Amino acid sequence: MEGLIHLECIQPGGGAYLVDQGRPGKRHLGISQSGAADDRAAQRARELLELPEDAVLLELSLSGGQWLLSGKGQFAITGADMNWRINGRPIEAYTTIDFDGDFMLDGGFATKGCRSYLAINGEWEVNKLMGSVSPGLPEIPQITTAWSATIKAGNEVPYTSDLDIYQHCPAELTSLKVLPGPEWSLLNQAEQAQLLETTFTVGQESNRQGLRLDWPAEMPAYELPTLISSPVIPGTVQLTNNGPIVLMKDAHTIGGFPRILVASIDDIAPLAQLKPGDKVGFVLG
Amino acid sequence: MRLPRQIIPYGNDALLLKWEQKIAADVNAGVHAYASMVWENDAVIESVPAYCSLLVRYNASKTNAYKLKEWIYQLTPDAAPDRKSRLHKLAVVYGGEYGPDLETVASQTGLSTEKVIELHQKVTYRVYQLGYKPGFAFLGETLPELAVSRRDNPRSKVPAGSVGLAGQQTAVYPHICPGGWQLIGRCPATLWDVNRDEPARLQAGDRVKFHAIDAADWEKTAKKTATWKV
Repeated sequence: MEGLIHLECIQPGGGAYLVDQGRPGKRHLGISQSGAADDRAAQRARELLELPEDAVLLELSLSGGQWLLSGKGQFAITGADMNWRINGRPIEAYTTIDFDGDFMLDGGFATKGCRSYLAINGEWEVNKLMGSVSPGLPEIPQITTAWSATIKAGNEVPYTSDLDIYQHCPAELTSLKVLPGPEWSLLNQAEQAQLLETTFTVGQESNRQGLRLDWPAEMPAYELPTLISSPVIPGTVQLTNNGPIVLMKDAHTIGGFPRILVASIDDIAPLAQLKPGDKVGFVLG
Repeated sequence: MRLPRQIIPYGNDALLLKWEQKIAADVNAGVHAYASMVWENDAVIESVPAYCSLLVRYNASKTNAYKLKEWIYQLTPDAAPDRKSRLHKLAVVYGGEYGPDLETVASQTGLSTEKVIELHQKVTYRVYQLGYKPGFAFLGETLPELAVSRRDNPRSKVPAGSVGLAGQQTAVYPHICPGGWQLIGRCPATLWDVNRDEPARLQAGDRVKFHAIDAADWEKTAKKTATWKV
């Protein structure tokens, strides 16, 4: 029998977004890739519930917020450690959890990582725009208090739990593996060396568009020209007047700041688990 | 047809083609010719043209940077199929509440507001690239007399349809979004419709010509230009 599950936002936490596979391949229209910021944690959440690759998830940044979950079904939470509780009782991440009734899901501040993913077994009844529910188009509604969604419950799946829950939890990324970007050669050798030796702090202004890295006060600013705007992709490190920005899934599609480095493809998902105050450096290779 | 001067790798799965770094119609035409030609290679998954550069992303399990670069070098752009370039005639209500920066532009350029309006309509612009926001089309070039700087304080909300100037570029904001360009007028036509297959009215390579209308004709013109033919 197909039941309906209801999810209501009591408090959205540090930023809540519905995400799926995003809108890849539309950058030529000015449309960013979007989708889950941390593809790996998102994919693990889908796997726990045997959901298809384009299944909708709720992405929660920095703190989990409060969500009223009603109905009968299964859910799973992956990604950042937010000390999730259900009706006040701690729950395990990376595990399928059965529910039947009305429950308050409650997430605290992320103690490890930055973004959690809530997957619910079923099909979300939400509007897709250009094939996706993810942010990145002006018409996509913001999730705030009183927002709600209905999910058509899916067939029950067997209980799964990652034996060691930390095995899939976001590893703390302390050095970002990078390749030289198109404008790396605009930096002189001393600047290149200094940049690779510096440990940067992730800035408060970071969001799904990009991680802003604070430029250390003692470091001199580099004099770089602005370019005629040219395409950019997630993972690119652009050097702005206020320090480097590492582009993420909602990044702009073209830009004029020098693209000094490009993150290795394997480091793009873990990037999304860095939060303001975290330290990160660059390693060429 | 201008050829790329340089082809360099960009990250693990993309190439960046660079032309002479200038904003010029013949360079941009070269960019767009390559942007459509690279699709002939079935390893290509994305082709993003800009003013004088092109990003080509590829499926790394089907090709590599070296092979794709060699393949691109042997392309003959003059054989590229002519993309149909549409001419969009867009109405604009200039000045007043529709163009709150018209006076600023006039004083920055040393022209009268009438002259600014006249010069803005004089040129048939080229859509050089889409970017910044979904469907935002960069049009150029404006006459050198109209060159202006961006606003010191960008607006957090620019109304949909606003016509802006920055440097020697002009654009129509397709929907409400933050923006730092000098606003000289507003266009009643719908430029963005998310429910269409191709939500952006203006496509790279298209041409745009503006013409002034009276504020009294806004509603009528908006209705007439609420949709467009492909």
